[in-house]
Amino acid sequence: MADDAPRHFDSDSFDSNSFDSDSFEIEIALSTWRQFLSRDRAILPEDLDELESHLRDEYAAALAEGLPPRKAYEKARASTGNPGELHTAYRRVESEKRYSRHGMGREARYMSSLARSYVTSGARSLARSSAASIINIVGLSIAVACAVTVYLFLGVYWSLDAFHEKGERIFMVEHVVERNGRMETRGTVPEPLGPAMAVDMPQVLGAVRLDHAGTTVSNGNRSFQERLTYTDDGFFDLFTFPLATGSPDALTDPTAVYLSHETAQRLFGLHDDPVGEQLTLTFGPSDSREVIVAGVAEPFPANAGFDFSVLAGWAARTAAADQTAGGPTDGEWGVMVSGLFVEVADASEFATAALAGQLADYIPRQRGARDDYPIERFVLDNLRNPMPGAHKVLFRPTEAPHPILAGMFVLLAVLMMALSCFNYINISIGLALRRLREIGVRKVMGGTRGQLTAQFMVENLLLCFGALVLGVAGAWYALIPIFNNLFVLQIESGFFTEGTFWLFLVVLLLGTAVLSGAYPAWYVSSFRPVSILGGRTRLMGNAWLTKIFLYTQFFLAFVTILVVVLVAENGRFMRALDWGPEEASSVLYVSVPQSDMVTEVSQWITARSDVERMAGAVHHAGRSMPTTEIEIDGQVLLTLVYRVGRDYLSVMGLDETELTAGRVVVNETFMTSAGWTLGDGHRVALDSTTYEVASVIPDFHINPLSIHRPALFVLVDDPAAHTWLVARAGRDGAPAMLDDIEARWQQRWPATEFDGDVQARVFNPFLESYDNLSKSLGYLGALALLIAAMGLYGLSSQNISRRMKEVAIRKVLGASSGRTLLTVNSAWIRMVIVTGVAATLASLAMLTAGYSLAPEELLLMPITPRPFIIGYMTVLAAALLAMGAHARKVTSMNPALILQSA
Amino acid sequence: MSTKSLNGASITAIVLSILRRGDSYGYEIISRVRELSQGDVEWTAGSLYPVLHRMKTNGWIRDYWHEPDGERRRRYYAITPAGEKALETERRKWMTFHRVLTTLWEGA
Repeated sequence: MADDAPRHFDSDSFDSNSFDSDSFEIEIALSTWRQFLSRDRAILPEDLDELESHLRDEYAAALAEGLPPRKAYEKARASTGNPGELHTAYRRVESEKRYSRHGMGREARYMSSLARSYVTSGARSLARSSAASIINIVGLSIAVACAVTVYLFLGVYWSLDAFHEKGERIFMVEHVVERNGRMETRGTVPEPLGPAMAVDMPQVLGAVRLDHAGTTVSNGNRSFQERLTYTDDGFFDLFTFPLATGSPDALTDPTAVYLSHETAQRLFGLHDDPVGEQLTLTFGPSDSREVIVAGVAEPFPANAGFDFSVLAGWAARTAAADQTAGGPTDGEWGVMVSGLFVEVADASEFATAALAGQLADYIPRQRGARDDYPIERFVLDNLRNPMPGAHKVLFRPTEAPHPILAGMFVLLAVLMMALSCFNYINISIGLALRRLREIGVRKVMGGTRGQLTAQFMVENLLLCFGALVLGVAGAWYALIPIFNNLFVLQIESGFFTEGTFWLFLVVLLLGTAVLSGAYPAWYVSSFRPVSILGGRTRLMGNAWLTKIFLYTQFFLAFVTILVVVLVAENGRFMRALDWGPEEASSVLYVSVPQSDMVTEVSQWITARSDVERMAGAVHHAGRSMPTTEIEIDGQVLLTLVYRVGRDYLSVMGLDETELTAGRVVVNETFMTSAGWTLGDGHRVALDSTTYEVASVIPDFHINPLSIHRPALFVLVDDPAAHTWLVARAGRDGAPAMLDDIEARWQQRWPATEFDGDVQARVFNPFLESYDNLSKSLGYLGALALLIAAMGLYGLSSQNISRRMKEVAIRKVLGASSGRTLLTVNSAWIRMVIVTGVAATLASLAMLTAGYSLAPEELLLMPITPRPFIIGYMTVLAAALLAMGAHARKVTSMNPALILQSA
Repeated sequence: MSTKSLNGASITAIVLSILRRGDSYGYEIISRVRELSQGDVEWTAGSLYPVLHRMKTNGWIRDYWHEPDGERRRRYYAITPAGEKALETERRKWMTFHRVLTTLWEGA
């Protein structure tokens, strides 16, 4: 084991002298002496410090006289006085003092002296083996950081929407419907259900609907695409979304909108109060409305399962419906809206079951309006305590925690804790074996088993405390920022003021200390002094548990490394996939949220000489996910319906023919999913119009993770409706053209972010964040491997030192150093091979299980031996390095000297 | 040559005398006494420290922890005005003994 202890007389780095009879450690001797005296109630801690200082002076003087260390210590101890003498002398003074003012609180001081003595010798023993302590602290702190992050994450995740004060009495109305032969629960509701319940049912105190629409919000030349949420008047009364400015009662006004804190900042900057300001909402080429800001919400809590960015009253929705014929209308049972929340007077199970039963009365009305979508029944789902299976509800208006996701996080934290605790146990036992002599001396001097255990546990607690501090810092500075980067759900910084968080830390500290320290403490205290001092203790005799720990640890390290390599390989795999057509590198796309932008940017593009073709689109392949249900022969096919301009497909290189009215283009997967073959003149019904399938194009990347999903392109010819522009540049001209457009954009609309790139790079943001994830995982894996290798290094070094004589004999008999090294380490080499094979099989099993569960359209990396070989080689190399670090000791040893000392 | 009883009687006077020349700590005091007696008087920690503590209780000396540059932290002792007075009493007592004994031995 690496050991930075001050060794005054032995220069040999590790161990050969730890067990031979001439070794002497002044620090061990001192702390043993000190601990023994600390049991004497007559001697106060301060006096003990003074005595120790004296002993050190005597010792230094004796050394200066040229005495060998052991003799010097003996002399110093003799002139300091033996414990019996000291006790008598101090006792005398103490009895004189008892009734003096200095005698006050003596018992309390004795207890604190005892604790201090444990802490002092604990800290010394940690400092003596600083390398091992550092490994232990770092290892444990990584685990602590993981545990803290997971705890905080679950705190947010399990309390989704819990901040709504009326949450216990708020229920979402959901419905069950049969789709493709399967019963599904969905979060949408018929539009008139809410108002009907409020009128018909006295136990319903309020009903608030939500419905969403995409819109472009503009304040002068600042424009953003936002989700507009329509809601009923009771919104601010039902939900706890306090307003920072403005009054909550303007939802009846069709021209009033409320903004989230974030949206207000984007539109108006940091310091302006936007209440009373005018905004423009643009829905389509001929539909834009002027609205007035009525209020701005306080920032939403991190655990908001749903919120809004722009909120308008239901009246605004009705007004919009009147304007555009065929748009949403009020009071139709055939129209579904995004969600319905009701507040009930009595939230008991009995009352809500009764209410759910009464909802059946509305089913005939819904079925009368939609015979193609017959609702089976309605269900109630509580906002604060989601019903079982809530995470499986489709289109649920608010997020529900997913038990598998939560379980995976807990598993990760538990695995990390287990790994570090195993490691800790291995290293501690290794250290303890090196402290046999100290333990023997302590026992001979009257140290009880309980005292030894206490001493060990105090050391352990100190170490765990260090790890806790480091771990919380690690979580705060590294893990939580990484986590907040990767996930939508945010961990907020407020947890330091919460009592439960501190309670969790205390539990974590005690839990870790007991888990990691109990076995080593028991192991150490069970040594028998006579056999230790006589050199007869079998060091690794009952180390089978140590062996199990090491096997487990290496198994876990192997699995971690394999996961890391697999994730990295998957990144490589995704990067290597082309977006689709090879033209992608000469095509660029630009997001143009407003119709005047479309006109202007089109002009910039066409003005360039190197542009070949240009087209507009409402949805852009690679960026938009316009999922729509299409019914084909009674089957519902979830399809991506891209609405694009005439030349879009040819610019993108997806299809050479022009898209025409009344016809659609579909991809191969659409055809196979529909069960169609080519050239049969198939027809597709979409928005109550029937289209003819004009041609079939090869599958392309829908998003970074899927290719084979049904997709369909339909013509929207009006440029004012387009929100994307694509253009094909001449040979290698795309980057230059992109730079030009971006420069002009920033001049023209400095407040609106430019969003555009070359099509070949459309997935780069995703790939970059994936790479970040992969890298963070890589660090974690490297740390896990480092910890495991350190543990192995420690054990193998103990092993070698224990077998020095055997090694010497082997060398004398003519074995080569390399051969000897192999023989000595054979047990560990066997372990690396066995755990490696087990981990490979386990990972393979997990991977295949995961693959069989993954949705069909998900793009999966083919399973090849490559990542397994890389992972295996990495761990093997680390293990060999850990064991080979002792090579010098074996090669440079002088067998004669070693054997002589016997 | 020194006997325990004489030790016990003289120790207060010797410690106070040493401290009057400057603050010091236990080990240094013992070394100083050894030096002055040319090795004939050898105090142990067990005999000195309890006495120091009693003198502290009596208010003759006070203590403080101090860490001079380049050395270890040690507990130093300093003489107090009460200590000076006690030393003066001791000095007179020892001078009397000295006079008596010198006279007696000279006469012999």
